[in-house]
Amino acid sequence: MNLIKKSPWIFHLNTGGCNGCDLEVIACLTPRFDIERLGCVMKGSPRHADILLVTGPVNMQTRDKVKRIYDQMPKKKIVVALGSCGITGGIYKESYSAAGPVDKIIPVDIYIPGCPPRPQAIIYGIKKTLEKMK
Amino acid sequence: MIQLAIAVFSAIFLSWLERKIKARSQFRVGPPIYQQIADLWKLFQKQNIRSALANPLMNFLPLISLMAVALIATSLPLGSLGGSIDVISLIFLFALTSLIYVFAGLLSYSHYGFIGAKRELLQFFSYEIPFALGILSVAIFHHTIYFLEPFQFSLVLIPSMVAFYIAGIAKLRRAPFDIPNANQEIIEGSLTEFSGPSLGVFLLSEWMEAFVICSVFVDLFMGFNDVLLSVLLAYLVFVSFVLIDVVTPRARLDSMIRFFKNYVIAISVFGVVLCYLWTL
Repeated sequence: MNLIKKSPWIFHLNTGGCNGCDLEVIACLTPRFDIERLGCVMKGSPRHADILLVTGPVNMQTRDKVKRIYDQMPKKKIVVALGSCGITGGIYKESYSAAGPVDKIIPVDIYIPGCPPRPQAIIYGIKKTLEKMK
Repeated sequence: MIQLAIAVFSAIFLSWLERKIKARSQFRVGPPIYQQIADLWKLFQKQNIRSALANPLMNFLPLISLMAVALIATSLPLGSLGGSIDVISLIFLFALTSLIYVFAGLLSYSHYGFIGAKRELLQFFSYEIPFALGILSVAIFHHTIYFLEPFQFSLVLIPSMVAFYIAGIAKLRRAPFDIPNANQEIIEGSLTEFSGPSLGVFLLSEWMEAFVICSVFVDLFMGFNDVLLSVLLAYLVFVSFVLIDVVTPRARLDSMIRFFKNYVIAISVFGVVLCYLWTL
């Protein structure tokens, strides 16, 4: 039985975006949305986490760090790319410092579009991710 | 064995209750009732990652911590269930769990772990004196170092009770003394580098320690010869810890040390002297 579905612990990683998506992720923790009722906990250490929530385009500075943090997570891990930047590069596309969208660096399981995505969309995306974990 | 079963069940229930109370105090819904079991089960299924530079002994530390707490839990008097422990081993085993937390930070080769271990060590030196003196004053008052059945409430023990209660908050690393595992400053303190099963065992031992300290508090200072009443009182003590945790901010390291040095140790020494003079 796979209980990641019941207790997904999230590690949130900003790879150089504009901070818009991060504010929406913080909004998920507020009383209005409260992702803890789904068992989600925001963890500060990648070693505790099951889901890697990546926001922002990956740039030259953070490219190696993203790979390293992905490797530090214990097995049975899920990667979620959040926001337009993480999916296509967004407004940073073809910038001199952009190192490509997230799926160029690490395998991505699910994409949540939006600039930034609403908290409802983030919760829906995480729910869909967990349903995928059969 | 009944005591151990009660302790494990209470540990899982109380840690859920803590999250629920915290959530309700912020007008959130909070986690469902099976949450802690789901968390533990998931952690036992995950991979155990250890940094190449970390000490291999790191993986044994959670087991030692769990064994120490389980030893207290099995031999603790709980209402009419008699115990089989003495004061010295009680102090030793409680000190062992704190030292394991320090070693966990030092052996895991992480900056956050190192800072957490350093802070836990400083906090340990602050709360251990009132904690041990609280237990000792009960031994002096009742003329026994054996801890075979719950002790009755007595007005003379109130100073020791207050000191033991404050030391208990610091020992459980709850606010205002949650300095070693301050989430916003140093991720999870000593537990930062632990993953998978070893993290699960560590969390279980911390949850059990919370119940065990509450139940030691009840047994030492307001014991009843009834299992259900003792357990319920221990739950109430834990809820009071959580309510204090919810409403207080974190103390600074130096102000914590000064508070213990100036007030709590004074209260506990006063309690011991009072007990000694009372029984002359």
